[in-house]
Amino acid sequence: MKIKYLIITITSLALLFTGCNDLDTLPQGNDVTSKQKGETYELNPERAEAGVNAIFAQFNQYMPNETALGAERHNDFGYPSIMLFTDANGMDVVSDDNGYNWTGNSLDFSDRVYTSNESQIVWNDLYALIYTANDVIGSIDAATEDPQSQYYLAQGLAARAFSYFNLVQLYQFNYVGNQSSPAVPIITDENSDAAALEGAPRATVEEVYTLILSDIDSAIENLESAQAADVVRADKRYFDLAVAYGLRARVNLTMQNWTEAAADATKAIAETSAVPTGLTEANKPAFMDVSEKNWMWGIIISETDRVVTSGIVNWISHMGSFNYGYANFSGGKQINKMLFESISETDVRKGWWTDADGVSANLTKEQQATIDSYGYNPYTQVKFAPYQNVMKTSTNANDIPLMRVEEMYLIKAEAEAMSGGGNSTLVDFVSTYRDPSYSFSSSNSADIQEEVYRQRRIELWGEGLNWYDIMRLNKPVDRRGGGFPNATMVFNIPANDPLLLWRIPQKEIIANPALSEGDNNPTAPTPQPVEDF
Amino acid sequence: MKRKLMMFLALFFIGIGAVVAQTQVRGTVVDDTGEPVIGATIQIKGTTQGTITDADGNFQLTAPVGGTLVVSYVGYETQEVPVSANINIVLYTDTKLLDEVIVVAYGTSTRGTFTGSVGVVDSEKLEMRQISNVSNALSGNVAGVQILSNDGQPGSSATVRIRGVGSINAGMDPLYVVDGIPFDGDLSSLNPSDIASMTVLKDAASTALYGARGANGIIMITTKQGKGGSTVSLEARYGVNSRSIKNYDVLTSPKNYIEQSYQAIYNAGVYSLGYDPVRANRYANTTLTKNSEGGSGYTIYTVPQGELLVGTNGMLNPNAVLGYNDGEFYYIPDNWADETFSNNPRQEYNLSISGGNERRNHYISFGYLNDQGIVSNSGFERFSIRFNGDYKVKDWFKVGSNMNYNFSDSRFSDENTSTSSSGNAFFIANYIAPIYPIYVRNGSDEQIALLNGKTMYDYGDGQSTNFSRSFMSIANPAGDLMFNDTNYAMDIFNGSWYAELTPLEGLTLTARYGLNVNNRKYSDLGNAYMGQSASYGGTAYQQLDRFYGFNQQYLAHYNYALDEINNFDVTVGYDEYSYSNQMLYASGQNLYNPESYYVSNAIDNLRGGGTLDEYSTRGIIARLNYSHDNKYFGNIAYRRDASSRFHPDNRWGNFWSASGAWMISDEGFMEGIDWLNMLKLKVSFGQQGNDDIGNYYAWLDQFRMTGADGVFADGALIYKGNPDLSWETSTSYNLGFDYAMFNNSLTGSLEYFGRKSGDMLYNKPTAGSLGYTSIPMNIGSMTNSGIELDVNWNAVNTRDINWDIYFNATSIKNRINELHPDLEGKMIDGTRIYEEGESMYRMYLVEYGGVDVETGLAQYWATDAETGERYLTDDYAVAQNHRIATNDLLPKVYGGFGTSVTAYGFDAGIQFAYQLGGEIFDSGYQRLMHSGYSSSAGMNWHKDIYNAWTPENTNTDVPRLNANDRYANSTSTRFLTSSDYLSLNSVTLGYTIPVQKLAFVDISRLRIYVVAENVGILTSRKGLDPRQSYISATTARYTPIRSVSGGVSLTF
Repeated sequence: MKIKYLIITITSLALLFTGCNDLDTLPQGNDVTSKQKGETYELNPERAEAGVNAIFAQFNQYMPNETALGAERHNDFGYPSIMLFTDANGMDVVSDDNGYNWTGNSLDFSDRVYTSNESQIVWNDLYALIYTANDVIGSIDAATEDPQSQYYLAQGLAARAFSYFNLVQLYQFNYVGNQSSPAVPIITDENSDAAALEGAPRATVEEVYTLILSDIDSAIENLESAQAADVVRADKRYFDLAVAYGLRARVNLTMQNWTEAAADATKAIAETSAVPTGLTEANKPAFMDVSEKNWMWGIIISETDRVVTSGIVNWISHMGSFNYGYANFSGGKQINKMLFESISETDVRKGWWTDADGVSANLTKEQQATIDSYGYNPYTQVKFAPYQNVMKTSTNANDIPLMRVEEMYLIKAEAEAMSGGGNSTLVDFVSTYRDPSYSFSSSNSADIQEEVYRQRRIELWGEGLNWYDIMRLNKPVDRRGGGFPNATMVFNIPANDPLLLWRIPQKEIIANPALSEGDNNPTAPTPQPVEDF
Repeated sequence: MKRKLMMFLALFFIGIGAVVAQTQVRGTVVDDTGEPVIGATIQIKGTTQGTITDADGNFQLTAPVGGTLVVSYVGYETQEVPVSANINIVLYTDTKLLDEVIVVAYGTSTRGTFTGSVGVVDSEKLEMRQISNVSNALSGNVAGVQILSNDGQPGSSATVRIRGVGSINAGMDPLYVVDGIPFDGDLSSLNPSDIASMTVLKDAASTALYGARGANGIIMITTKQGKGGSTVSLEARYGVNSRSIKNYDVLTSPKNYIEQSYQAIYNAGVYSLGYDPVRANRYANTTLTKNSEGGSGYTIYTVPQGELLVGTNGMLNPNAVLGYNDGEFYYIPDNWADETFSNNPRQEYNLSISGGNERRNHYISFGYLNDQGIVSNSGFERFSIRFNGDYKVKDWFKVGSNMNYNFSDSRFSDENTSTSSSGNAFFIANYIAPIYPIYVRNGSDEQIALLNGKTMYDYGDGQSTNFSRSFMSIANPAGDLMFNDTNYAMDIFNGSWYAELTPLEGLTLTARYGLNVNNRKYSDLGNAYMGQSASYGGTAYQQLDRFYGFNQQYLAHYNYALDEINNFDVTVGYDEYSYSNQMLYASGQNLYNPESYYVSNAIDNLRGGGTLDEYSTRGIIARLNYSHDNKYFGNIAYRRDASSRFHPDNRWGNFWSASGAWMISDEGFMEGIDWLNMLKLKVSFGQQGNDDIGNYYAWLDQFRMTGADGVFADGALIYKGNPDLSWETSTSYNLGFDYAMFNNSLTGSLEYFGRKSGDMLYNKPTAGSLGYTSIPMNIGSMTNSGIELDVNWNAVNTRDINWDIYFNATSIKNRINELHPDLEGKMIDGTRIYEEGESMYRMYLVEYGGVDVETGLAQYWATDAETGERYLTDDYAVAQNHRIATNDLLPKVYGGFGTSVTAYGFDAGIQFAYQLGGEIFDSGYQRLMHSGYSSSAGMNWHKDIYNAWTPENTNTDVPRLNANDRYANSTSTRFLTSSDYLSLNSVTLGYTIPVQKLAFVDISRLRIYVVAENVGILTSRKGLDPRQSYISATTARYTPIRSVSGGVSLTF
């Protein structure tokens, strides 16, 4: 009898425990499964916006390629990584290759080896941004009448245009003359499922620009209509109408659609609330906070972001001269010496870098003391202020500029000149905001374009835009006389050298059934150093 | 004395009670050679009364008429004889062979009847070893088991591979089952001295019942149980650790290093920058002390005013004096290895008390281990307490419980396992050029500087001194070890409980629960004095992890004998497992008390977070065993298993096995073959599953939620899930013989096995253009097949001398049968290639073409895009288009051998492991063969660099030195090296003091011994440790520890 009871007890105990084990296990915390996203949106419908915000989170990621690379790289943090790579490729942002500060592979172009970490970071980051944008675009009816949905849709479209615009310029030479050359695979919300199975071939430059223009046009329409219904962006991380015009101005400028570029730049200037910083504002370290008056669009970084809590895995760690990070342990980043010398003494931007004596007129005593104490080389940048202007801070939470209104003036100036409109925009802009003694008299469009290029190199230094000018204007990468500290990094790479093009990562070639080795950009020989000036 | 008195009193009273039935017994005990057995135990069955034989093997005692005497002696088969006046007993050597109990899935079996494939490491073999983690016990001991270890940190677990590697991406670790309960806990929580046996189950017949987690083999660990009379064992050992693997042959003199470094920079001037010799000499002299372009960043020689450090002849200026004073600081090189490594003590104490009778038994132990490693502040300390007990409440009802509590404190930095991390003490000590100071020295007195009484370390950051080190700037792991504080404190509870009912003869019902809870507290102090963390004013980090695993099993077991020769036993059951890991962390910067890691001691950037992960499985099992006449054995097992890693529709998998054995030696036709004592043929076939793709929710897309200031973002994809994902299935077969011959002196097994993994769990690399770079899939199949040989030879067996020799060898072939169709038979993943029909252990490398005789540049083969023909180039970037697959890197054969001797109370044992016929990529050597290129500046050189190309030395395989040659030591076939090794794992020497000599005290056994673990290794290159992995090795990790201890073990 007793045995019977025991058996019953044990069996019922067994059944009791059995009920406790749930096979639908899910994580809790900041990793969210697709299943939980749906459940959360039901509990709190406002959270649906988080999917759109993800576009902008992609600009600010902590080691997003850790799994893909099988390595933790301290220069892997989303879009700003690309800004640093391309700047280091060029001749304007000078840095020492000390084997420690992560710039070596880009200084010597070994990032072009298609197994390099950099080559994968550039590719994966831009396409991850496209993936997120496609998710947003695919979830909203293209013909939606709801202003909120139109606004969200525009964010996806503009982000996708931005990404493809970056890609097309990195993987092929400039638009004019290369329309039929292979660019990059086009993945949209419509073909992504098919591409997962069959892959996608390199679309032509023309095809990619067609998609970019169609996306940005559609984004502008949606933003206009959303804005008419008073749906506007909450902060400067998002696209608004002015940023969309600004982006289209960049695209048209690159395509050499001069009239359209000038028109878009003009609209952007008219539409945006941003205004250029004046002579008494541009004469101090800045470019640190998205609220600055001249910013149209930027990456907003918070103190709690993983890139910031890591201390050193962030953009300003590699760029900043006043704060704790890679730059200050590696001699900082300098401006090309010849470019610096071309800046007039009366230009407020002369003080964005220290001079031959390591001194900048733009600095307070405390700022100058910081620069002195870190022992930088001459021509070190003091353009970017440390976070909240705290010297030697280790809280590297600087926001990162993506579009400033000054660039719109320069686009306008160039596009007008190239369409026969003269130099007045250029001269007005520089003399009003940067150099009261500025004079430039040539009315030759090529001369104006060259001068705008010089202005852009100065104005936009370190903001990740210079490389696109080199590609757009078919410029050589001539580092001679630039003050590169390593004789071994002094190259003179001619315009249109195959080395300038990024190569599609080997992993993409292997995993994409529509691509083979022969489809890649050609391997370029390793550059050889040349005698410095 | 007290005990003897008690015994006397007990005997006295019992004697009175049983006075009627007593008789006097006299007898002799001899062994099969006729020699008297001294100290054999004669016990009256069912009582605690007894005696032992004297020096002539004689005994006498009073015993009840009609009773039974139990005669036993270690190493001999126990005999029972009826009580009579004169008894002469012959004890036979205990071969244990057929009756040895083997722990198997959900129960036990015996050697004789078991149909699967096992290897056993018993407590005797474990006693021979000095290990802090049980996983290291298997090295060289069990055929088919391979031990990889790339972390010598005391207490850390080795990687165990049983019969090869069954999958590309899925987990490859065996399942540990401790006392019948699957164990996911930390292996360091098991005290090796509590372990009675480790049984490795290798084939499907043995492992199929564990379904989900058994595919990579199972290691059944059985802890000690009490039995017989009360015994107390005490063991104490104390010893010293030292470095088992020396560094590569690197440059040791600053002069030699400077001259090589000069040559590299000088050559850059001449060959790359087009300088004339004079300008190149000047360039090299200035650059040497810069921290870029190949310079070290340090000035360590003082040269007379106006003279150069290195002359145009490339030799160090003879007037140069080592040591440089810049007024503020004094710089002179230190030996980083000597300053980092130290011979630290290791001590271990174990006390156990065990005993029992027919109704109950207990085993209680307490252990303490303190292993200080070979780097100060990297020690492991463990307290372990165990209580194992069984209680037979009624004849039909039995309960038992094993409780194990552990506290361990492990002080180490994770950095030491992270190759090329600036915090890795091993990396830096092994690779740093012999020119750098480790300490800061004052310029005034040239003595090591102190900061608040603390030794100041040179972090090479331009702040601790005026110089910035090219190699691992802002780093000084020795200083970090001294001033930082990193530790894991773990409270681990492993408990299991069972109840067993026997309601009917032959029927057993068992409920078993197992709980493993590990509360792990990780603390990390980044010091506020110097180095990176000082820039933050010191950093504090605390993390709590709670790992929780709960297992429940319900089994019904029925034994049925149809008649004398046909026996059945059936098991059915259900089991469930749930696991969770909760994590909570906090961090902060800028410390009030610079030496406290409690986060509230910080005032800036206070952060925190918490997460939970969960996983669970369920299984239903059934097994039927059949034996016929103890000659034929059959076994069928089935398991249906569910895992939470898969979509509900793909969650359940069915796994099974069938096996049989034939005791050939018992057949009539084998009669007369006297030399063959036993020959058994075993065959098994079965399927198991594997769900271990590494992500707990692999069927779901996963996103990282981020945000701040009210803005959430949840769309950044961090893991692309696959709802179609399901079980990886491995189909295994095993065909083998167990044998015993020559009077059971030669025993062992020979087995042929194969394992074909199908629907492999595999993170398929995807095109980055899709927005993600991999997706888990069930793709393709792979086979591991091979032969295992196990030989044990009892070479001498007399009363006084016993000599055992053992040897095992395994040869495994790995072959990929099938990959995803998209891949067209080939997948390249970084430097690895996976190709159908080939081993998965092949690298895909640029092919080294030797040194260009004319230029001294390293040459690599490239493919001409037009003609498709290969040609030599010195541009590694171009050579990327001509990579080749290497041979299979796996060793052709691996295993172990050893011997143990006991003679006249002395015992000695020695144990080796080996592998032959494989290759490994020696990345440590690669690093040390750089050209002086800026990213390698300040890194040491292997002495082979002396053979670098020069215009005079053109016939060489070592490219020229040139600080601008970035491809001199690029990853290529050049660095493939033989992975053959012979390692001396352990040596022991002991003496057991004869019991007679100890008769005056109550000690039944006293052994004193010396044991050495990890004694040494022979490899193709000094410094290379091929045990690190199948693919590549470096010395940039916590190096294996050699420990030598003396000890005493005492039983009374």
